[in-house]
Amino acid sequence: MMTEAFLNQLAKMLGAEHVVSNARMLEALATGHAQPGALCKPGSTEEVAAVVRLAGEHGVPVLPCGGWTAMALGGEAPEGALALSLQRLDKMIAYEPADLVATAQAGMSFDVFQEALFEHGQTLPLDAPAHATLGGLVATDRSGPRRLMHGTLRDMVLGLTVVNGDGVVRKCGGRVVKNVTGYALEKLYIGSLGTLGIVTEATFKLRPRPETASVQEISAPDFGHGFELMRDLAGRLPLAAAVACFPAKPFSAQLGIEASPPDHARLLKELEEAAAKAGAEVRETGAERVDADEYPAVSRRLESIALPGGETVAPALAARLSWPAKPADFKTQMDRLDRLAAEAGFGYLMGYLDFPGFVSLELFANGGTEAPNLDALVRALRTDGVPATVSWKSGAQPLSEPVFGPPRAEWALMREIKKALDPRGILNPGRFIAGL
Amino acid sequence: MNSISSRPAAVPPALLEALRAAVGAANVVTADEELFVYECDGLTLDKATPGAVVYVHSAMEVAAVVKACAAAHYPFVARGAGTGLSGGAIALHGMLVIELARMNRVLEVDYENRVACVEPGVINLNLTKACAQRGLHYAPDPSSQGSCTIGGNVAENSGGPHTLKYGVTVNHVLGLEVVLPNGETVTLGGPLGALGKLPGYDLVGLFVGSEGTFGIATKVWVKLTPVPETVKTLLAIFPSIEAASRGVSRIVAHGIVPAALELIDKTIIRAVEEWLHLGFPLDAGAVLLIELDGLRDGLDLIAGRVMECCRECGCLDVRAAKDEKERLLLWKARKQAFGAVGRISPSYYVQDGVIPRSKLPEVLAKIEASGRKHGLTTANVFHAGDGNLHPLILFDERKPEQIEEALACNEEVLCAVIEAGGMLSGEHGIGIEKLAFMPRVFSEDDMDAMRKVRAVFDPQTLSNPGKAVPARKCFEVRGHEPPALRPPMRKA
Repeated sequence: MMTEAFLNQLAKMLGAEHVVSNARMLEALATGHAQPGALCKPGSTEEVAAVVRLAGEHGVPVLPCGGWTAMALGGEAPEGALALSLQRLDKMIAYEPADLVATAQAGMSFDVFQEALFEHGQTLPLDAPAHATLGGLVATDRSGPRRLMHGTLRDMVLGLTVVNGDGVVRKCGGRVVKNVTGYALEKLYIGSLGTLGIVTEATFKLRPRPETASVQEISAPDFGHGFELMRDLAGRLPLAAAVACFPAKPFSAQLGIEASPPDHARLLKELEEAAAKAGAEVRETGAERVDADEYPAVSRRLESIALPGGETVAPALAARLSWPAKPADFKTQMDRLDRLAAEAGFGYLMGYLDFPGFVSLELFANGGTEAPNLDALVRALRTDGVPATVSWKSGAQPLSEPVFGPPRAEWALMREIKKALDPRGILNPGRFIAGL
Repeated sequence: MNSISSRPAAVPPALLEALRAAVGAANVVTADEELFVYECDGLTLDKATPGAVVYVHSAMEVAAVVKACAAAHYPFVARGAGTGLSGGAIALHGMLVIELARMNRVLEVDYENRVACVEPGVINLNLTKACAQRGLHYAPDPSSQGSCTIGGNVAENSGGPHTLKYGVTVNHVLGLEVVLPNGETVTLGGPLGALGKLPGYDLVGLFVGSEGTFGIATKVWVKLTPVPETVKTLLAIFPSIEAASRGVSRIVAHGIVPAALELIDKTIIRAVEEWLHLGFPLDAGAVLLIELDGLRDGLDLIAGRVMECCRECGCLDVRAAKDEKERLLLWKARKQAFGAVGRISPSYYVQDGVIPRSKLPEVLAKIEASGRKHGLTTANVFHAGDGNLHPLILFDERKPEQIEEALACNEEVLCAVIEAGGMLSGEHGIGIEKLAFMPRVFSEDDMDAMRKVRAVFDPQTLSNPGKAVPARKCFEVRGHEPPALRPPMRKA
């Protein structure tokens, strides 16, 4: 319980200026979830540990937060939790460019980190929002289309410092690029949504920045031809990314190329030749990266959509679902999706496939009086065997289906791991799989 | 020779009966002369005789065998080809050995999604052979890839020269079917997890490298990698190991990630040359074996930059392999290096420490100085691009005073690795070999978390006990006492 005594102790521990219990400010932090009871900003790993121990003693759930870019992911946060912001832990701890390795505090924002790396011609090759924090990226296992070339955070995180649910500071992994010393516990925290421990420091393996990088937009007259062209290209050429967007007409997709200048020129030529054969067009967008969250070409096309009566409206995004799928299965799934979404009362949907197979589906309200039924759609998909996760939804829609699903046998092991590393169950309770 | 546990307690007759019922009497080995084959793995100086060996042919048989062991509270260890270098497959305390080599089928290759599903006994190189004609390969390539198994690679999170660019085993494993130590079968990740991460904790990433202490993988979904368009292999000759290691640091600092970047010093060059006569320069202080791969048009540009980095560090000459035959010869020299050392020293101790790459010149100098101080020769042949050292301390085990000196030297080398911000093992694993040193790099709290996670998978501590993470000092299961915490020696 968050008592007056608890708040006083917290203020004494961190300094009153680092504890916020002002109702108006907290309301702003709710982002569709229950409102936290207070927000605190510890300034060091040791302070994070002290806060977690105090919260444990008082039975107060802790809601770790970074750049607030992914707070809508996961189940409902409990009412009256203690939001723990890592924003004051924003320093680079060790960056030796000659090692292509950097260690930073978890509250450092992605763009500040990248800026420091860019100065030395290096990068963390991840598609992520600029204001996301490094700790938040790790906790949500953020990635985008460039995973095809560079992998995901499990291929980039070398070591972590975490504060587990028992308030103990622990290290795992190391600062070297290859390491089999002890169990790889760092893997557990990647994508754990802060439910096992709060990451306070992270060490990353970096990559040299590509000499030439570009994003090419491909337009094809229809989905079938465009999709087959993408499958061919992704299978044949070493392209950094491949994103297909549909059912926007004409078909549109984005491809990232990262290579040395002569190789870049040659890949582009091959790309143009393949596109010409398929009746498609290639255009350089000028962008340097393909971002899963931006999908600029399609976003532009969706600034307004025409309703059957001739009226145009700005579409309101209602929910985003995601799941892995093989390209071949994905085509079959999409054929049914149109109908399922319409039955559930959604007006418009857009699906993206990051090759080789990660689907992201955006659902828009139809602008009518009746609210769409997200619950019915998720249930229908899962009945069909589509392992859809609700990765985002606008606040008002009720959802009785779990956000992450469907359940898998290995969740039993995960429940036990949660008990082992967060014995009091105070870290982000109820927001992860299986109600963890 | 160190015999870790002399004659083990016999496997209870009731358990033997259950095993025979599970896999057939012909597949349960109990005769002393047959068990002898299984008394060690690639760490040959430490030996322990298993209580029995069971040959399994399917996941169902593995589950039945493990269930029988769990019911009898009898410990077991899975074994692939037995090529591990840290004693991970040694059957301490008369454990039961479950031999997986017969589960050697490639079950499925999905070319479009570049995923294969294999049984654990598939030999690493055979997987690459199985998909080569479609332009794909399995990237992790330990030196033992002609004999080691994918299941063993999963247990140890094996590396190899080309993991510099392509990553180690864990970066290529996407899903696992696992028999837990209680005999239950569970799928972690894949096959859908092979395409994109499913929500939940990354138990696949956790399991890889757990040295057989979390259970036995019976199916492995792996990523396949396109064969590069072009490969270029260079041999750069340096006057000293110091200059060569500066060359490595310089290449990495220039943002060049070769496919492989190996350092071979003069002691190894001589040993290899006297044996294989490959035309290596005997007057060189060290050579770098540099392999570049990728798209064809830009590769010469990168090769030019690599040569420039080498020259700036005092490189005497750079030779390029003229053709595939020459390239394979260079790699033969690298991969046979440990064998060649046997010709120049009766015994050696090899380490697997890994350090930040910018610290290579400093740490290599300390290794040489430490050897000199103890009157011993040290030799180096290692994955320099990863900072993964394999210093060999040469000695004669027939001379007790040399064993003492070698141990002292080993300790100093390890201290240098840890001081430089390094870790104990880059690819060989902790096994029993490096257990004693774990407290030097992890706190009691850090190891406490590892033990807690292990207990989730194996609450009875039956799956390969006594490996990977030291048991808590006060924690002893009767009859399963932890192994002696001392570094074992390697016989050449």
